[in-house]
Amino acid sequence: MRKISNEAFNELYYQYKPMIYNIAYTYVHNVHDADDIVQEVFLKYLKSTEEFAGKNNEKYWLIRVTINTAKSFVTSSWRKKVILDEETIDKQKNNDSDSNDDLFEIIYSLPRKYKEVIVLYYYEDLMIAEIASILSISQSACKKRLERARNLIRAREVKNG
Amino acid sequence: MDKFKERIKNSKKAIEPSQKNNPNQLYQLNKFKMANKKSKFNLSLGLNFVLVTTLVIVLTIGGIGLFNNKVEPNGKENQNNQSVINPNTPTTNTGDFIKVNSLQELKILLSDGNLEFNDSFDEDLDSPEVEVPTSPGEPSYGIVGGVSPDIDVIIPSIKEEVYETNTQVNGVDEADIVKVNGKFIYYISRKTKMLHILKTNEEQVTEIKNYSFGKEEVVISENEEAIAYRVTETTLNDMYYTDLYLIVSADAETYTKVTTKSQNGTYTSEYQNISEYHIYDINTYELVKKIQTAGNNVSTRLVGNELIIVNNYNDYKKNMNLMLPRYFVDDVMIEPLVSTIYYCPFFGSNINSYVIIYKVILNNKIEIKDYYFLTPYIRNLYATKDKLYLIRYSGSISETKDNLLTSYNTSKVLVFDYEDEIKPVDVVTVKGRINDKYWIDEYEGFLRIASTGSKNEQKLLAGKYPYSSSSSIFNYLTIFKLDSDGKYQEISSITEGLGEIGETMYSARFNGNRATVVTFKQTDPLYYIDLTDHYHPVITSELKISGFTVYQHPYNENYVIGFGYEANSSGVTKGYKIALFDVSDKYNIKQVGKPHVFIYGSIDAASLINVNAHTADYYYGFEVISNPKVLLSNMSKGIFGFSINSRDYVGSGSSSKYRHTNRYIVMKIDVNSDDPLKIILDEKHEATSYHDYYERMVFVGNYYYLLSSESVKVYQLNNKLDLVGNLSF
Repeated sequence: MRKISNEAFNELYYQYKPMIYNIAYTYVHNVHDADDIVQEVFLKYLKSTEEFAGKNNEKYWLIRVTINTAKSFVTSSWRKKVILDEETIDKQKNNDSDSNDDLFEIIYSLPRKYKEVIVLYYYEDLMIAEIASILSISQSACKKRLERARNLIRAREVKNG
Repeated sequence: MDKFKERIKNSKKAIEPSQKNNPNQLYQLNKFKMANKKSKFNLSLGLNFVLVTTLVIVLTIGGIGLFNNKVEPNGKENQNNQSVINPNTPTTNTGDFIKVNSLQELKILLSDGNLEFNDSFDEDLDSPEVEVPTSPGEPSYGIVGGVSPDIDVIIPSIKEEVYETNTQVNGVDEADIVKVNGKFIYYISRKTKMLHILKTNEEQVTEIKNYSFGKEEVVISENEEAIAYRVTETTLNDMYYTDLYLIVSADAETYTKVTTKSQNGTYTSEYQNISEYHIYDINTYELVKKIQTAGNNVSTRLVGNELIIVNNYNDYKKNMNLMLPRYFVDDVMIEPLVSTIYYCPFFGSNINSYVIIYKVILNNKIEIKDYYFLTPYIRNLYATKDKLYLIRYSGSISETKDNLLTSYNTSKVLVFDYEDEIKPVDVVTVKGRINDKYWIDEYEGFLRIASTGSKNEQKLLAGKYPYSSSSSIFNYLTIFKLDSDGKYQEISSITEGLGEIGETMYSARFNGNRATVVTFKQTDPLYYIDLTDHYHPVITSELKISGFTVYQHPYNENYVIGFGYEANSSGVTKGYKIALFDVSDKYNIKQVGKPHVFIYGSIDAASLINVNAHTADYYYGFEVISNPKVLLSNMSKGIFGFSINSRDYVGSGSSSKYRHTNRYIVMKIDVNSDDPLKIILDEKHEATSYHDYYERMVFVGNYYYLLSSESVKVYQLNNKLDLVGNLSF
């Protein structure tokens, strides 16, 4: 178990919770599951004995664990499909989406590898080198994914009119 | 920043705000959980999420229980909590398949794997301009030298035991070069590539028809300077039959040949390999349908009257004009709609191929359905009567525990339902490679998978994982249970005890509540795994002998016939071996009597004790270990047969040469004898080329038919197989 005070954990929690929540949300697309993932990631953090050489490494660790947890959750959450379906129906009833929603929907539906780079680059403002390190890919591969992700988004926007 | 990129950044605003916000609870919860590590929490996540604060804590505990721990039926928790840090970590889960929206999107997806687009491929053709049609051309099918134009239509009415292909799953047929339909034998010679249709009547056998395919050139365009031909070379592969049809698969290589009139130059281009299926009426042998599929065939299965064809397709890598996998039915081109193509964001990160599944429904009216999925390359498949399991090798996953980073190579299994429409239902991941279709097995809702692989371990030093690592081999058995949602959940595994250090898994066979697994480096540990309780698989016995088994063939509930290699004490293979194992006592498996060993000539046969030794300068062509379908298996009579070749150096000086001998050996099992594998036929002949041998033996009732490109020899089963008839082609 990690040796950390309640106060220090509070500080860390408020610093990284938005980031973890945002990444998780792009995978699960609903607040309940995204919140569950936030809790799960922080519990993993508390349980882990991993030591970090620097604050950035701690952040990258949290991002990696978030991505993994979210990926696992996406499928185990099939059990909760009923809940998701109900949310979808509610959203359709409200019909109050704007262009932000539309674009987010497209990003949400991207293949995993493209979604990851978009979220980390645009939402979390990480640099190419950082993303490459987190995802264990080369910088050129990261750039290529980013470019293809953008192309996919453009293509879908055209398709959706 | 341009507007587009700004809009992407702003799309983050669509994320709905969080509803939970209490780090103190989390902190206390963690302390509470650690203090009560052995307590049992097994609450459902299906409860309402928005409850009072105290309930949130309880719910979270329940949620964590489901997240981190395999919950066993008795409520026990698996405490193997490991932090997963590799972002590419696959999971045991279901892919959410998404439709491809447009051609442009498809093009982007297919550009994965650092492919370079090559739209100008056609322009690279260094030849005069000649119009080239898009059709792959018409294969040269037709009767060559039909022996008897009078078709003798006999509906098989006899109920006597007849040969069946040695398949993995009962009721799921696999294509082969020989099939027996009542009194009819269909046989494709791999030497002559000719299909022979034979009718048997005990010792009599007659050829009623044969088919051959070859090379055909068709002029497709001509001008003053040049002539263009579409060349098609077709070779027969294997076949199936149903009550209505004989289905013959073939490989057709087509290419365009252009010859210039002035310079006599010849150019060839646009090579394309096509897997074809020629469907004949089972009574008249008239061609009723021809299907030319797209891509390279992974495998096929026949279940009832439904033929399942699984292909990988990546022709677009050569030519993006072939981005949509077109196929042909009776030479009519069919191109899929983009909207019928799916990809799965969670099934691997590299889309480098299509997997195309064709379902051919062979009723009076033949119906063809096609399904397209963008996935990584599929290596093999396993099929039951209602599910397809497509196997691919996947990237590595990493785990950290106690400051040790361990990376494993993995395999993924994409599960499809195919009873009605073909639809993906699950993705299962295991550590290691599933090297053989026999390593995966579904039994009463449990999916059992054997795998072998390598893992790297890095110890955390000064806050970093060093580049240097130690690697080792592992052998695992992983068991999944089908849940009420139709998904497989991992319930148990064996991760230790299968093989000693450095030993790789060579074979696995599941049979009901039993698995037998062979690992090898220097000796052959044959393991018995008791699967009576799938939640707690147990290795109950192991047998160490020299050599190792590659293919295990069950003989009733109590025995396994092992086909593999003999090896010396250093693990160097010295020949082929066939041995019988008694697995009736799960705590004490043993070898029965003397194995047969086909020894390479450099070994002194006399030095081998308790072995039936067959010596030659060199043995080769023991195909049963790589292709178990070649095995003659009549287990109700304890009879099996196989072909094996040997080579000897004969003569001296300038007249010396290699002499190749082909043997077809039939054995009968007598478990009560000291020598339980008795040879009842050993047919030898001098062979001149690789495929010039007795390829298969089949049986109809008590008569056995030995097939080669030149003849059919007929034997009657008595104490031995006695030659009673012959047909020369």
